[in-house]
Amino acid sequence: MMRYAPVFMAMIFGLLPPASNAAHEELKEMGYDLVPVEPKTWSKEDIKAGEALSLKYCEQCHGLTGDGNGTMADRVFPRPRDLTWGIYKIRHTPSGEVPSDEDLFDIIARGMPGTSMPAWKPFLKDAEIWQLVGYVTSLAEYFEEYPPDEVFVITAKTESTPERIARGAAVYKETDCRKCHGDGGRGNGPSARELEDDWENKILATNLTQAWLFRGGNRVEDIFRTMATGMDGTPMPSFADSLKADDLWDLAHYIKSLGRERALDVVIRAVKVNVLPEDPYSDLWEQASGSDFALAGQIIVEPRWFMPSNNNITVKALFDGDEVGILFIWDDKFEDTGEDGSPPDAVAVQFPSKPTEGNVKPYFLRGDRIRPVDYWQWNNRDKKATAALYRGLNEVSQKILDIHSYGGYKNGQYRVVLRRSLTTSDDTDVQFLTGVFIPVAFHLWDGSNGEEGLKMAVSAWYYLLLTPEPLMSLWIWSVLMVLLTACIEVWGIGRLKQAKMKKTI
Amino acid sequence: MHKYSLLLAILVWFCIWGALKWVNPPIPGSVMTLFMSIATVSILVFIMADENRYNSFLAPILKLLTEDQLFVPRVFLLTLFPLFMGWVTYERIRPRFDPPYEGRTIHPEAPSTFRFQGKSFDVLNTTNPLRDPAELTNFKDNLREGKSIYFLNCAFCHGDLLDGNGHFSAAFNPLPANFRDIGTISQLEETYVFWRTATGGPGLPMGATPWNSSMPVWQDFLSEKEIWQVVLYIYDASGSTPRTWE
Repeated sequence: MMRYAPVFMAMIFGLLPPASNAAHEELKEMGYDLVPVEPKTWSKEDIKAGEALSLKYCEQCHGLTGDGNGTMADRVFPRPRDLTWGIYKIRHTPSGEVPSDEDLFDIIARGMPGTSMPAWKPFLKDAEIWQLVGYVTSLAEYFEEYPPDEVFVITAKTESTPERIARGAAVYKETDCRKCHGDGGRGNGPSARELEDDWENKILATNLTQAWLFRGGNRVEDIFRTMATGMDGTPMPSFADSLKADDLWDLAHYIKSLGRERALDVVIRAVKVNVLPEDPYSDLWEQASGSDFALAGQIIVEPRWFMPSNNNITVKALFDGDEVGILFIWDDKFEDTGEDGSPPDAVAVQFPSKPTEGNVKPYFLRGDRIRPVDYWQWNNRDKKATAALYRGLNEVSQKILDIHSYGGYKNGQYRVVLRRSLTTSDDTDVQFLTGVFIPVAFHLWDGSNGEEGLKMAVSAWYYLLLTPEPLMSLWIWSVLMVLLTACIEVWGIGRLKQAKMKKTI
Repeated sequence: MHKYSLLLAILVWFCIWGALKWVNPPIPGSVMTLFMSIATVSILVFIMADENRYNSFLAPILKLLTEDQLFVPRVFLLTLFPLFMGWVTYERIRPRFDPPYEGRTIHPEAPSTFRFQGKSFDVLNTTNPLRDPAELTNFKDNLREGKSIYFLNCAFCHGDLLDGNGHFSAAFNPLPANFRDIGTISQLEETYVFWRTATGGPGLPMGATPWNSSMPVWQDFLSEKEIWQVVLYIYDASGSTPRTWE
């Protein structure tokens, strides 16, 4: 802890030692530099125009006075920024300082991935965004009292190499990043439960494997900047002083290597294997291609759920001669077994219980009276999956036969396989026939977030396809075509040669 | 000139093909096939019209197929062609698995009446009461109320910009409506929007199937006045004007 003491002190006092000329040269060699900036000045009219724009476009979250208590504030996570404190996460200024005008412009223009802050750039003109920047800087005294005098600039980007990534992994360990971000980077470290921001709101450590949610961008230079300047207002410190630039680059490349982009799809394509694996970590599952599906809070019926933990589920499927196996993969920072008072984590999948006619599907939330759904639900208390028939959100009749389930929680992630025979004799069961697009939808619960019952994350209808093996006839026809063409060729050339011989004779 | 007939024929064929490919918007595949068939036939007719030209056109082909010195290129060509034909056959008869086409009626015809919170609502003869001259003094208050309702209920999907891009939108299919698109609320009367808001996805008529809309049934949450207020707000904030019969 002692080695961060200077950083924490700097954060507290908002003062990093100004870099001397020699130090500048040193920094430049390491790939970044601190260059002086001149804060913009704003006329009263600019600020007024910015305020008017804010009342039109921003007040619903950031509040009429910019205190972050707008209409929507209690229904979004993370909470909207309180603009009156002058504390911002994404900056090019040293830790503890207010952001530069360009930083504020960028955030408004680009939005914050993984939050409800949208990108305003195509919609608002640059001049309007600048007026908003002027208004925002007028909300906190710090902008006037301690204007930023230097910003952090990357002068030379380094390239990712396996060596850098390996060294970065070592830095990750030594620097104790795992305390919050966890060993695999899923934001599930031992301290992750107790994190609070400066406003004493609960916050979570970033899941470094879900790169599409990085607030400050997921390019390696964005990650480098985030670690160099820290995320003010959160427990994420600046490492500009405690780590050498080279180590910082290694770490940035390692974190970049942990993250992945998501591949949203509408179909899960199951392929046939000889025998379905039982272990969700087996090679067969690793090799199977997965599809990502976006999830949203269930806000259709009461009790509505505005802040689900999960925004994504990855699904893979395989089948053999007898059974189909569906693998659900989702990240969860804290395992809930249902024993400590919070409900257990759970996953559910639904299929129309009868084949759909003319592409008319059951209602996407657990079906309707006319078109019920076959509903499989697995939870981490019983560690088993049940099957039920739903004819609407709460109209359920349990089925007797359970669904085989394998897997559970490991290192910040659930991997659960649900398995059932391809066909059954019960006519309310979904039947898995190859070559048929079977509608499928998912529900997910995170117990420690208070999710149970209808408080859940939901998806729309997508499809599961058991890809048929290529037919023998396909090959036969293709080979026949090759042979036929070859025969015609040989015959034609023979004729031509004969004709030529005749001519020469 | 006749010496290069074959080369010229190939060149002209590719020029025509390239020119047609370059056209924007792209020409549909079937029309392309038709045009190229006509081009091929025309080129052949032109060549056959003159015997010298025809002979010089054929000469290189015959040479390749019969001359002993050209054995290697001949074998190369003669192996490649059947394999190419085999591949074409495979591609043509290979079964394809594309998800079913999810065609739908975006704006199905509204019923003349529907059940709204237990009573009958006359769609044909109702207009937005908040636009009555008597209510216009409260217009600003109604808009403010509408904005608040919008952001407590609708913005999660329809977005801060009213562009259908809220932070939940990626999870839904079809995507939430973009109110700034001229194909949505600007094409509709306010009463129609009221009906769609009040009855949501489950209220879509049978004729609009397959419906997968995740739009909630807002009459379960909002009063009649609140729905009119939010309708007023989305028109005002997106800069749209409702359609009228006049």
